Amino acid sequence: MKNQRAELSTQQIVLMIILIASFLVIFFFLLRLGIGEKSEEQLCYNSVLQKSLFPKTSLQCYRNYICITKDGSCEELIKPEKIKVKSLNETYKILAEEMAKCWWTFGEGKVDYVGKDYFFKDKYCSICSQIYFDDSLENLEGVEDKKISKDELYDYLIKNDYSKDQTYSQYLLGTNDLGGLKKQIIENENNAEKIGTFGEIEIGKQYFNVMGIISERTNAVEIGIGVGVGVAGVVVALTPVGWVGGAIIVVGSAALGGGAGIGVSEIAALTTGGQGIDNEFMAPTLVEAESDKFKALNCYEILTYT
Amino acid sequence: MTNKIKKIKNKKGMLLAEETLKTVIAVIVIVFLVYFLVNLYFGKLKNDALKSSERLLISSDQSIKNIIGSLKEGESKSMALQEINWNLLSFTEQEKPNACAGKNCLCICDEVLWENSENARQTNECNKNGVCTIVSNLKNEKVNIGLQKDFATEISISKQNKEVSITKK
Repeated sequence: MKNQRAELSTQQIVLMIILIASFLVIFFFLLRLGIGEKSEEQLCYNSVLQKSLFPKTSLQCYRNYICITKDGSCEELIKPEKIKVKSLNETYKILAEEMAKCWWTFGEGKVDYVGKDYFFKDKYCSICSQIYFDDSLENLEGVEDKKISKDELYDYLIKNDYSKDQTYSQYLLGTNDLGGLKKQIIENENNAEKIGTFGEIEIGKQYFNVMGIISERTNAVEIGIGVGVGVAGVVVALTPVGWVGGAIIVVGSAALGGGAGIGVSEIAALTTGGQGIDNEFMAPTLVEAESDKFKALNCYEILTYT
Repeated sequence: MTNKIKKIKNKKGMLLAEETLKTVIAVIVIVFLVYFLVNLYFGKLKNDALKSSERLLISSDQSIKNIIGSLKEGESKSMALQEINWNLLSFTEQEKPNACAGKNCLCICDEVLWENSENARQTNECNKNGVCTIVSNLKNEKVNIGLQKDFATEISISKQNKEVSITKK
């Protein structure tokens, strides 16, 4: 009798162990799926939508730290999201995905998440991710002089699909015309050398995957200005220099002088109008962290938390 | 008769095991529930602290970053920091938190761990529980100023020879 009772409880114990073990296995796989990361993106996206409806709320967006490496080493960043690549094409794919993720999170140019400003139209930037290009990437085929061509990255964007009906380039920039974009770079007033290139990414350095939005002015101010003083002169005075020309960044580059001008002219080509809203956007792009080019963006505020 | 007794005892055993199983499952569920609630509570506290730090360091009109940006050569400005029990630290050596992107920077972090000159641990701490802003021209000296929530801590920010230095008043 005692044996039988013991047998039963053993059976139950085994059952319990199986139950707990299977729960732990499921929990482990749930953690491995990176649901936390996905939910952070979703949280940011939701806060962007919420802010467009209720401007008093705050954005809940955080910067991701990514290290692209060939050999798995990553000295510059502490516990980043490490992504191992074997070829340049894989690197471009990761960058394209990061840029698309950033564009999606901040409303794809369809959402005004900064509200209206009273006197000046300001530029608000979002650093979606900070990417370190590990030294080991210099051993990748096609990398010369420790540099990765951004022209080839944009070439990747026009040739590869983001979804069934559009390429990355169409999704991010609304066009697949790389020649047209380069023409805009050449024709930009800051590009004194008239070189049609998106520039290069230097291996061993950190880059911001950054996008931007320009706020609109409140109607009351515009009407007030119009009635009071005569619209044209004052509106031009209140609007950042170069805005009329359509390039987001021209102001900053003018302020910084010629040095950043050549690089910054790239940004002019990445400026797109909002869809269904008046704001203008800068599509996600890679800019070296805290470089003159980044300073030339002249961001009034960085909306993402570090 | 003996068979009947056996059956009853078996049933009792089954019931006992079933109850144990239920209890174990209940304990597991309660442990997870408590874990999530504790996480939620401390997550909220940390989030509030990070937002206050962000305001003090970067985003408010009178933030440390904006004051540094407005400093002219040879000028010195003082400011009072409150709201939070964290610490204002500088990073000018080799190891820096991720947000510093390899440049000199100022951070407001939860704990100070570098008394034993363990820079790596401090960097890690600021990476997890801190907010940082890059100040490329920050003077190469250690800043370690404890902030208090209820009392204003006065600091002085000055610019000499293009270098920014921060001291407690």
